[in-house]
Amino acid sequence: MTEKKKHTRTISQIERGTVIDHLNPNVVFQIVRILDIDDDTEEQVTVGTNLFSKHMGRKGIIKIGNRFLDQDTINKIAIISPNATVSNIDNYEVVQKFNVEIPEEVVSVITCPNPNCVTNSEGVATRFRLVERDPILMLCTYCERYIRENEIEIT
Amino acid sequence: MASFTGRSVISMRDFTRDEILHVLDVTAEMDTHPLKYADALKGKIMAACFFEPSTRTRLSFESAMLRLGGTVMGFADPGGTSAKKGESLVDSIKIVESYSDLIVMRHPVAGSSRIAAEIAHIPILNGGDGANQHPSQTFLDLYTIQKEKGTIEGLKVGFMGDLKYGRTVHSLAHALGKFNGELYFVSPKGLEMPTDALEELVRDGVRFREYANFEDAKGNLDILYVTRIQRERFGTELDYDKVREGYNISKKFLEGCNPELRILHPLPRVDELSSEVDSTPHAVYFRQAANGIPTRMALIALVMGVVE
Repeated sequence: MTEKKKHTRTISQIERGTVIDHLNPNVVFQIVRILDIDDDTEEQVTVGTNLFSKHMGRKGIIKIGNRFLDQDTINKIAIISPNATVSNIDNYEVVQKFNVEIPEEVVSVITCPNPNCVTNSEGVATRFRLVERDPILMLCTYCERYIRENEIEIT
Repeated sequence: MASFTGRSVISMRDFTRDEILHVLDVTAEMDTHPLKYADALKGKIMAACFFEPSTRTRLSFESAMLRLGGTVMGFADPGGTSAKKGESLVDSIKIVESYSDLIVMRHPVAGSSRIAAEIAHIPILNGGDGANQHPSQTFLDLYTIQKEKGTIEGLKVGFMGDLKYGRTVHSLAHALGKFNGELYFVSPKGLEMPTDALEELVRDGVRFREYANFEDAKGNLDILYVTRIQRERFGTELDYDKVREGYNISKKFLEGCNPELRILHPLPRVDELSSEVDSTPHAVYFRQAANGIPTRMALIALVMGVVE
């Protein structure tokens, strides 16, 4: 068996649902939380982390049966793992595959780290404008504070 | 250029280069022909909502509205208001907008004016939101520079004092960057321009340099913008005294400066700017404070549709 085949067989296929691949292995369980997967989940779920990746060295992967992601969830994944790919699967075939992309405006996804920001006292939706993609730099629309990758906290 | 009518004035970031120049043109018009607009806002009411006290900003906004023929109402601090009883800002704004035609507000929380502008159907003028923005101050600083130097384009502008916490500095530096200014930053250790503000200038292609003291920078400046260094920013009285000595603009200090140098200060000042400088041609800070009136008249007139 070749080296490649050994690795691709680590995770089983799903018949229908979503595969989120090329995840930063440090945030896999954060994404599990974003996906709201817990012990009550009835669908087939596979979570892999620190898997071999030719391009990334190590990567994470999550497969969820019978579920497709909404744009909000995709945006959240993009912010904490910008190189992730999402594949929609039907009948064991990839019917759609795309790279996640941080939108120009990120709404209701991140908490503003500025304790004096109005979004932390008035309970209104946060809004950030993307200034730079790599490394991520965003500007809070309200308090106008810049936030960096290491300050990002998903709501 | 988008119409100013009905628009809120929240942050300098919302204004393009052309829009800034237009506000300065209207300010010059208000400065030159104030009586022409004496009845322009007759029957209109401005609510001055100061959730945090600021006598100068409030009085100059009120004076500007009165000079345009309007009337003013409001509160100078939140004591006794519903905000003090725990009412949300959103609710307060909804109520006040039904009583008035425009709102000027100051609030200790950053971003509060932006929220207010999103809720209200009438223009909101930001009179300061926490450590964030104070756009009417920046417009009056720019107007003062234009009036004194004939232009805001391509000037060499020094900033001196507390550059870390001075929001007026960040806004003005950012705005001057749009006009090819060359900026010099002089501050005590620990009170330097924040990294975020400097990185923003780099991204915008603004030329700037940082200096530890003024001696190396003062020779060819057109404008020196001085801000107050606050005692409470230092650990001990000794540290404060040490810094204070090096950051005092006096007549002696000005030797070797460009004779056409103009000094601005948002006021109030303490030790950083000696009163002996007041009588020199360099001092423009009192004229700067007076320019708050035509600047705020211009902003009110623009958002109320008195002028296009």
